[in-house]
Amino acid sequence: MKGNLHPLSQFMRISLKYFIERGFQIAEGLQVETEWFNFDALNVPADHPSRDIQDTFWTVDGRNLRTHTTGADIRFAKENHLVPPFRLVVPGRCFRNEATDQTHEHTFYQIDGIAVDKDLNMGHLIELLNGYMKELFGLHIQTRVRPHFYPFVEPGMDLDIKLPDGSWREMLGAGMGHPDVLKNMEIDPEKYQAIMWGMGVDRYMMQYFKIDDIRLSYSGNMRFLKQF
Amino acid sequence: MKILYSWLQDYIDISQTPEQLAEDLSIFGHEVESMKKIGDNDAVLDLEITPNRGDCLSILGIAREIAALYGLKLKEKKYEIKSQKIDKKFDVKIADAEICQRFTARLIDNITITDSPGWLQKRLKTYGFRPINNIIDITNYVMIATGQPLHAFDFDKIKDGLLNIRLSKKGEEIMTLDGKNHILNDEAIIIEDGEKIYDLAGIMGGIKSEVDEKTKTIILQGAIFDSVLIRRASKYLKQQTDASYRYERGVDSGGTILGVDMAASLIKEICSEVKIGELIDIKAKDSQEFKIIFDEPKINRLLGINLSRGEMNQSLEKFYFKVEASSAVVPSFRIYDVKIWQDLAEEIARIYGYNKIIKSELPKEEQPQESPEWREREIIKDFATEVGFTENYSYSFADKNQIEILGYKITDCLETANPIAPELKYLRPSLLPSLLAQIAKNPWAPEIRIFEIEKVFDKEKEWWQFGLVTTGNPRFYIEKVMSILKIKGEVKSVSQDILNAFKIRKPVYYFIIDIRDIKYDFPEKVSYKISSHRYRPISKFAPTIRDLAFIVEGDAQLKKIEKSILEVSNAILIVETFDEFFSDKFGKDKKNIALHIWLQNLEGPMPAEKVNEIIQNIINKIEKEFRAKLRS
Repeated sequence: MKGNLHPLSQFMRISLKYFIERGFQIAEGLQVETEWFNFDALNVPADHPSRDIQDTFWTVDGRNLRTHTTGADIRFAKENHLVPPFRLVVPGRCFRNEATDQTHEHTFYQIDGIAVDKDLNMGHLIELLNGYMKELFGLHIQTRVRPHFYPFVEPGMDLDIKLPDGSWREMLGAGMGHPDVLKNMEIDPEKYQAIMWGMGVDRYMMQYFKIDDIRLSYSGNMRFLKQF
Repeated sequence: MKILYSWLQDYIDISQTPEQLAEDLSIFGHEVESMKKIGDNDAVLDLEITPNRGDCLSILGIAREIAALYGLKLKEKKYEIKSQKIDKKFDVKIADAEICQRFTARLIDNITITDSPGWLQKRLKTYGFRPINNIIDITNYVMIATGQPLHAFDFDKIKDGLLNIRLSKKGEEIMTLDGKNHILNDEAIIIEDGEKIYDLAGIMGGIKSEVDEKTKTIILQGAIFDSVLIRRASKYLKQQTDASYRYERGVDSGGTILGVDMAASLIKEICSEVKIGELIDIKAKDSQEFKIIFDEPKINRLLGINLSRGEMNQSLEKFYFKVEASSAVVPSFRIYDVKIWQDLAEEIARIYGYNKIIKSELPKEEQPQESPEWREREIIKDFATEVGFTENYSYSFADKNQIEILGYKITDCLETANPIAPELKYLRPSLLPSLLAQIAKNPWAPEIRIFEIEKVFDKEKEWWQFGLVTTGNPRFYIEKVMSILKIKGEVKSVSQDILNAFKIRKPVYYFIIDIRDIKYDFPEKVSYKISSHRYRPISKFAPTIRDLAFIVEGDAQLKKIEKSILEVSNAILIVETFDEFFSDKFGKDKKNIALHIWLQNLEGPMPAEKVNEIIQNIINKIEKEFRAKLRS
């Protein structure tokens, strides 16, 4: 008799619960975002190839459909004049201007987070994300981190989990907030350190429910929606 | 970037197998996306090079990283060129030091154009280049090896040997080697001789100075062009090349001589009669040493480790930084990437090992409340599913015709400027087109009750909406949700015209409201339950749906009955109860339940006799397990 909550909603809730329990406050931003918040504020200038990583939907008035929710960290902190320490988690819909297939979607959800305090370090960041993976996939899950470049963090990293067949799967990107990004939030990078991460929720959700086609989420197919 | 394992051995002695190297490089920060074995001992590794690491777009660059990774020494090659006097001259004029900070070249005379040797062709092919001739192949080879883009001009095609390097003027034209004619804006770097423009510098050579089978004399150029200008021109002209890709990401200003001399010595090696002219090296702009001051407590505090200054210095030296008392000098090939002390911290952490950093819990903090807006939307979702609506997610875009037939003005809709498909042009002004389109995708479903909560858009704003639709059934279900949330308003029916436009063959009722107009005070808690079901693949063929009704004990649990039915056959995809009511006419404490059974066959339509067999098995099982009786 009951209807079904979308698997993305269910998954988003247990994800957010993990972060809420660790003192993170849910913040939300705009889906149609300015170039500054989506790119420049995150250290992604127009004249740098790092801009090319993401295929962006531009609107005719020069804004864009956000390619991640990281820009919302900056917008929320700036507009609310947040003073550290604070912790934000930002869920929401994002867009990439790319063709869809079994593993690619132009529409997806992301959860992003930031914590700013005087003595946060990489060990805190890795532990937070490691705990999140254990919460989702069980205490036995093995994780590892690898150096990776994201313009808004330094140092930056990717986090992998170990699959049952022994291979590693990349799950999310993270790092220590870049001083320029902190300045854009009106925070003194000499005094404070930030941990930041961002991840696409769709792929986690698929892994959790063993779904093999990313497009099913938005298909409206009742044979999909009624399974969960 | 494709890296040939045996080519790396020119620069470094690696004892690790290609597999081990791929694994170690990935953990070191250069993700190996794939590996192709060649014979027993060789392999091509395809590395993802992030846009900050232009220095790694070469065999040498990756060899440097491997040296740091394993603590090895590079085999630095020196090229001794015996230059000869050549009775020909060229003249380089750089209009602005900002566009070309360094220009290194040699004149090479007495050339015979032939095929390049087999070993060289083989290496080029592993990278993905098609061999052309000895000169072009060598310039490409050296670019892959050292990261320095090179270009060879046919000297005899350039008037008075003049290389005027300047910014283009709007409307100027050049035909590049691929036969494309480009009309330039004022942001490309070009080379001309007063008569013609013959090079689109840093991107691709021009037809008018092309090396061909008759070429006897070349100018071999290794230059540093401005990365931003190259990027802009390459984007504007939609012309990305291996050279422009490297210039955009930053080419080592200290590597031009290595590039030119390596190429010159290779040319001499395979074409011994050539004469190599003097080295020309123009530094239009002095490259200054770039130093970063750092102190170890800051780095330790950022990384959560405890290293001494000496240990940090050692790590940096592995990456070719020159360490001084309070600072580190950044090597010329890293200046595009390493700018602040946090960048040094990353290199130190890479040597230390990210996975050796001690993990620690965040300091405890008071648990903040869920944000009210988010919580309210989730509670609305819980109410809607409780009443029997299934949550739907649909795209934020809507089709132009569908927007218009619903009475919205297309001119009020926000438009995307560069959609890759026409259906991604307009942002939806309401959830209604999305919900109707989703209904149309399920023509065989007995009745559909779906809802969505997401954002809708106009030209200025975006806001959250809550939309509910039902097919067939009366408005009852929508009204029930409205009454729980104390929403006033009227359930609407969709007109026949609109149903036709959406190809829906059933009546549809709907209600849509902006979230901010819901004035309920939401005392409830969000449910954090997650379904234990795992996805089962959906057949490409339409499902067969059968209904069954049973009289069961009044306390029989619907969940248990549904689960028991699901166990009957793999062909049963979904079991849903759509009716439940008590009546004395079924006997004391009895109730009637009615279920939809969704059957499917992954290989084709569901055969009728198979359906009948499964249905009979369900009836038998439920009658036995739940003391039920089929209602006919």
